[in-house]
Amino acid sequence: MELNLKEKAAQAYREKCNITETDSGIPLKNCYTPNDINVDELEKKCPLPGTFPYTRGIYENMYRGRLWSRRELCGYASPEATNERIKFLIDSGESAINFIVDVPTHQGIDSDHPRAKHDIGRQGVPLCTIEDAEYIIRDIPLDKISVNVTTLGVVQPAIYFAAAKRAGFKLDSLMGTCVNENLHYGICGFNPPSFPLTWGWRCCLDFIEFCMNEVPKFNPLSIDVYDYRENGITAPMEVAFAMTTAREYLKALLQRGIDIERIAPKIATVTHSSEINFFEEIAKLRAARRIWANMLKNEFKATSERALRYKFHVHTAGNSLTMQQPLVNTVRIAYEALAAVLGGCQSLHTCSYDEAQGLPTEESHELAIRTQQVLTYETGVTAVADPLGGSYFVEALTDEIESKILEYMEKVEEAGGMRKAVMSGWVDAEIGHVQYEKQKDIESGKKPVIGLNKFRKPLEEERIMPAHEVPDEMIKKHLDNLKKFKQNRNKKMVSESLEQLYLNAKDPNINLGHAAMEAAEAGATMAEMRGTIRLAYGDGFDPFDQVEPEFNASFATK
Amino acid sequence: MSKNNRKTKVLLAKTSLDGHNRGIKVISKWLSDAGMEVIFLGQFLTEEMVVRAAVEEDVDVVGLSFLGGEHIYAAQDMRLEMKKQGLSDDVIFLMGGVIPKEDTPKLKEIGVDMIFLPGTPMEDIVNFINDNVKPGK
Repeated sequence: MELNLKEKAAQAYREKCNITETDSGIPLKNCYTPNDINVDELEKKCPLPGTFPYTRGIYENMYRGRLWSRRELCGYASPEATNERIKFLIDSGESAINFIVDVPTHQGIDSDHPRAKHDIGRQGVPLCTIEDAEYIIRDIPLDKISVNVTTLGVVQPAIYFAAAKRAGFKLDSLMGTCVNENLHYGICGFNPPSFPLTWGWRCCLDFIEFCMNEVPKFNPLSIDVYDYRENGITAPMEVAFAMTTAREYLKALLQRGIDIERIAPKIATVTHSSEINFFEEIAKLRAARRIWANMLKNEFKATSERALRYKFHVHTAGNSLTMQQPLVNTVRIAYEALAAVLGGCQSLHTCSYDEAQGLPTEESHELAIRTQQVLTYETGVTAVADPLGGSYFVEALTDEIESKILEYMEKVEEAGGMRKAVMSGWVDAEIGHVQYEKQKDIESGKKPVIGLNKFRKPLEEERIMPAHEVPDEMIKKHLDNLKKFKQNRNKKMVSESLEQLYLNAKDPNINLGHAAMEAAEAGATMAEMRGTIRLAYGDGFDPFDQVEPEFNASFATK
Repeated sequence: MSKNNRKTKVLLAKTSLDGHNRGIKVISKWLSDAGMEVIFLGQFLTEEMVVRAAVEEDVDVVGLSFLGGEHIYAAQDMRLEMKKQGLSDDVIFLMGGVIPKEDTPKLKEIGVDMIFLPGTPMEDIVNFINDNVKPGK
């Protein structure tokens, strides 16, 4: 029942804080004192920033040495439109690039596949051919700015490399990152048969090894635990999944004979979330660094600083945003970004306030960058490394969350390790349980969300925001380009390059990176390459069993 | 309760290739806990598959979830397929997900009975279904 103004005023005036735990359920005291931390141990666990185990940050001078990258995720409609948006973002002051492929590309099908029709360019950019990649990167100095390619497997990033090469860049000059993580693919909403843990796993490992040899400045794996977190899990689970996933990749790469000192720095570029529970997020990131350093030192016997330093990109939490009273989201995003910076991130994506209804508009995308710029240039938080270090509360919370993470990592190991736990459905079940409980807390009001379950307005009073549109004509132009590209290519060269890819895929000892790049250069499409690898592994050419291959008939039966 | 006092039967699914499944999974369990019989058919399905299941299972409600901006085209395709397979007009067609408020009139025009925007309380969805499923038809 609506309270009248007098009652409302009286209640508000006498209101008190009733928060007694963090979002993950860690109990909170009213006040923390030296008794809450082991002062003797603090010296050892939290020495100066830049010193093992890096709880306080991976560099001695942190942001005075180098600011975090302002890296906004982007990709929509067509390669040309995405290129325009990237240029707009650089012009607005972003300092690194982050483009994401669209959903059909993620699923390994080209834009002309019948199942792609409604999803082309809606949640990313279509990347079917070398020409698409050339459009995306046009006029961008790929050797001067880091480019995160949000995709996975050896084929799609090879198309990007092929385009970069054609644009005149040497492979060893390319900087950037690729998500390239297979375990979370089926769990976080993609169609498992599109990229299964058989040949998909090999493609990811091949790509990592390929980059280590050919594209040494490129980080070929960025374990994406943001996607897990968006599914409703807790902060300790997020870090535990990051560590146990990394453990699987490290083990697999060590089995390939790669030195731990070489591989560890290449994969310690994890994508974390930053949700709204401010101190828990900061403590989570501090604890993650310490756990990584200890895991690499004790379990993997790494010794070099580069291997022990845990670097991460932070993506503020899309799931914390509301469609209701959308401008409130700018406040949430700012706090989440601040937590990421106080937690010592190396790279940051700030969400846009209109993301609860669709992709960002140019205006909201710009505001997301401005949010980072206010943090960078106005607040002064960049001047001091780990400004919260030594806080009784933050140190105690860091310890507490560290033990929760280690405990949960044990649970994952008991379930067989991350790879087995994903395959058996254990991870999915764990997420399902937690996400349902979280929703219950939102529905009951136990977890307040402003504008949603607290201070909500009637829908009629909500203002209509302009939604970002994906123009049909851009999609049509992209489809026309794809058609022309397919007509004009040298079919013999494409066929030969795919045959080579097929033969290499048949031999697990050959890295698929070279053949994938050559096929991309010869004019093979992404789905043709993926399909060729599928055929070599006895899967059907098309993950949706609807499309017949144009080229593979001659050699796939050999 | 509907149809001769049996439980209200709800079919939930995702057509299109969008992978965001947290919402529809939570809603599946929520409606089930609210006493409905819920079939979550899965993701990456064609309209043909979803409507066939709706006919075979004789459901009262079909609900689709979209978070990728493809909702208008997908709703049109779904409506066509419902017509093609002769799904009863009594079956309630619901949509939810990341859908701009300004698109709701268009979706209703296409024939979606109700669109649940982000942040809709679960209780509203339960109540809408209970209020609109015709008993014992």
